[in-house]
Amino acid sequence: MKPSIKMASVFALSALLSACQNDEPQAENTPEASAMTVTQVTLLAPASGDLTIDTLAATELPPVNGSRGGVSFSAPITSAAQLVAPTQLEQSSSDQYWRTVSGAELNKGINLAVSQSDSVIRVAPRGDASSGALRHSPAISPDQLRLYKVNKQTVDKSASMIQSMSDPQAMATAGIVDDSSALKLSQQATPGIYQLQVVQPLSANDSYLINVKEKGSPYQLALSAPKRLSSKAPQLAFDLKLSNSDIALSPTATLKQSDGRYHRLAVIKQGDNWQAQLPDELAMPSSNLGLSEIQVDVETRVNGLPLIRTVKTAFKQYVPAAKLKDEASIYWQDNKPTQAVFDLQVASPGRYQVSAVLVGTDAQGKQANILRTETAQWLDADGQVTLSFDGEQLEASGLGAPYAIKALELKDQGQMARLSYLGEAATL
Amino acid sequence: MKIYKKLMMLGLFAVSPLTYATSGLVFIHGTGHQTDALSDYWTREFVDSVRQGAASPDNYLVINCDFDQYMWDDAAAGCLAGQLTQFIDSKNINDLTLLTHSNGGNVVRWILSNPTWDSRYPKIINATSRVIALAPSSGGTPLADAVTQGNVFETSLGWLLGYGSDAVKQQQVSWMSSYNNSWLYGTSGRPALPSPFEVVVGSDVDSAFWDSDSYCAGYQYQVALETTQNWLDDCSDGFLECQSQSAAGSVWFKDIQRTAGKEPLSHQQSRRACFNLDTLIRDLI
Repeated sequence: MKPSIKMASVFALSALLSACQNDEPQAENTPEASAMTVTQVTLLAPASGDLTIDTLAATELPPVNGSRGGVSFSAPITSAAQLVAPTQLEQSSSDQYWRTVSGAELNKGINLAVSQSDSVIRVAPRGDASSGALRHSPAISPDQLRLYKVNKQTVDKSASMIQSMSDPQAMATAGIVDDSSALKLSQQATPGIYQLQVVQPLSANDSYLINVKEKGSPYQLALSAPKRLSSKAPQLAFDLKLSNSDIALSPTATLKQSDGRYHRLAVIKQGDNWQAQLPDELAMPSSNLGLSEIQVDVETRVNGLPLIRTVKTAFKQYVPAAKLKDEASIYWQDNKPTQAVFDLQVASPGRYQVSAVLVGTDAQGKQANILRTETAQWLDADGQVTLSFDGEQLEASGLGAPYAIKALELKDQGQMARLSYLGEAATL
Repeated sequence: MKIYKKLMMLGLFAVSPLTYATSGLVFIHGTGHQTDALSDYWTREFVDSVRQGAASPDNYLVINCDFDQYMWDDAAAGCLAGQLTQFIDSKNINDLTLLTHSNGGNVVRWILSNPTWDSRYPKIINATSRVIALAPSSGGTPLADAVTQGNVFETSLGWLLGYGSDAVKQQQVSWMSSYNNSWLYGTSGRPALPSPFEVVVGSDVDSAFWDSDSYCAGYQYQVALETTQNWLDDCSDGFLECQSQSAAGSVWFKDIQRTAGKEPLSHQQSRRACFNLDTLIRDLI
């Protein structure tokens, strides 16, 4: 039978059988497909490490992938390949911090905490839109920078603490392409407070990013936060640790959404963790493109010396727009599974992708992978998605019953979000 | 017996011309909007040298796409898919070798990892035999984080300050970690890529002004390079850390293991005919 004809008969049958909850095989009526049977399976309950969707919600943002055409693909995979659940936490550590300051502040001089002698300070022009129009701040030549040690509130201008400087052109050739200038502190510089000043007159509203990088510092601020956050979640939990210190931290948090906007977040401590509160109006970004970031700042003192750190991680904000119902129809021919049909409940039209790994059993009774199969299609409302199991790939594996479906995953290609994952989905 | 087998093989080829592979070689650039990548990104010297190692040296293609966009964008992976599809169809290619540099590796991984994103992808996946990834930015780079910190003002129409691009934003370290975890194959704990992804790692930057080796597509500004190295591990090619380059696929070799004079390959040098890189690739393919 041609695949297209077989697909048509399967779709027609799946509609007829959609209400069937019986686990007994159902024989097809057509003579051509007399060997085809259908069973119903109930998906296994989620286990630790799985991702689930509870309540659905509609998304209104334009889809990243709005293609209407369905695409299916199947390929054999290594029989012993480990199927690993998606990592749910993103971890990052930082030996640097950054601040946004104005031209007026730079002309007056800003105080910076430095915790080691070979630190690098980068001055990068940024934009300011507070007046309604975007102001593009000019680059600063490094010879206009002054850096002095602050001793007991007094700026010691007897010696410059700069060892070397790099101008924007040189920085660009070395990989930092944002009109930055940078200076490296001299070997004589000791930890403490330094004043950075720009001597060339700047417009008061000019905006600059000051980045202090302390490579190899023993004081690394480590942040652990979720990789994904539902639009239903009112807060984002995170874990924070400063290496080589057990000092209590008082972090501040900022949300940077995928469109580049920053929003300050309230932070509360809950046990050993922290919760950043997401106000309703900030719940979702204005675009499905890109990722959001949580940025955490800490200012503290370690061994009597000031220490500042900024650390960030990225996460995907998503709307739980669809979920798999917990039953699936399995189609069989010659005692081999040919297709699995899943029912999808959707709250918004979108392009949804379902994928899974089919595993079988060898002569010794050991389970092994056969193939990975996936299908993506546009759904305007609740509907079905079919995963096909390639007969040749199944035959070539040499594996037989009992079969199982693992690593069952639902993604929304419109939001570019993983919605659910079920490590052990069904035994067929 | 040996002659008989050879004759049998010849006979098979004669009656069944579609049973043997038609190979093709494709050069895929990194971040940037290329319109003449042969001259502006690679060099004629490099391309002509490498393709001599291919089974069909004239079956080659130099990609020109807008890799300033996110990897999945129509102008990036969509453009790449279009040019690859045309190449495969016009020459009946079924043994495709993709040679990528830097972010080009991510765009290729996007296609190989997401067969149902675009109806053109399955054919490309099925035709691809191997990927040779020169200094791929699989794990992103802290330098991308550095230039996207602060108010850089992106809009749906582009980057107002022109400091970066969506491709640069995508190559921030935690962003690539997220994409590796959700959308890309080939990193630890994720499904394997459908074809081998063989990586050449650049591990250092030779920028000493007294060393003529520095001038093979090298750096001019030693002090700036020393400055930007503060954002990178000690093992890096000046733009990407070694761990980022080796995050996906398998390492074919680290530069100093095989280059002439055991010279390191900077990020610029890993797309040029520096220190026999071209002949190493030529011999592999």
